[in-house]
Amino acid sequence: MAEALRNSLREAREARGLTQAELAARIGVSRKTINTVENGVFVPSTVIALKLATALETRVEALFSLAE
Amino acid sequence: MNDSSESDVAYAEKSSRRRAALAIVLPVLLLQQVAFATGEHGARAVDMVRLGSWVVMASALLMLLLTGGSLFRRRAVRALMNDEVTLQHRASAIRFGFTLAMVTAIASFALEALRPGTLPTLAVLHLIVSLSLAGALIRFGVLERRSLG
Repeated sequence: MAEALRNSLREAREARGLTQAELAARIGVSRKTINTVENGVFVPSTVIALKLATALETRVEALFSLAE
Repeated sequence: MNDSSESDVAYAEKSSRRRAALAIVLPVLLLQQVAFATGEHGARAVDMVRLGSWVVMASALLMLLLTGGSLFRRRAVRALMNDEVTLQHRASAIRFGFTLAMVTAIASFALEALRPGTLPTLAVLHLIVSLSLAGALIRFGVLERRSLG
């Protein structure tokens, strides 16, 4: 249910001055994955969510939350 | 962490764009031959060549759909080109292709039951493979292009 998940990935990435390609390279996925997660089109697996949180030095719960 | 270099990411994206374009364009060549398969043809050498080329093309496109078609690239680039989003797109495309195959088969069965002899067996098989494969590849290509932004 992509519509039930909110994320603040774009804000977190931009706050650290990273491009989508730079973040993608850090966690070993394509830029397409970062783009689709940021746009809410793709719900990432737990593994990718944890990698994103580690790369952005934050917690998974800070990046992803369930919509009310 | 599974680090990749930025050049790998850029190269994978360029290759993914090319693959998405091919996935949309190549099925057109496959569909062009549907008219030939459903029409009259004999056992002349030229007919055999056309049928043989269709078998080769259909097999190659099936491999492209199932594997992502990046078999000769480095492992790191291949992994980037077949990440979670791509696997999801491929699953969706295969589901769409399977649905098309079933609909075509059911329609052919109904047509043959109502008007026997309308479609020869070869034509029915050609239609099922061509439409389902082309549909699946085009869907894959469209989903990929959309996600590449």
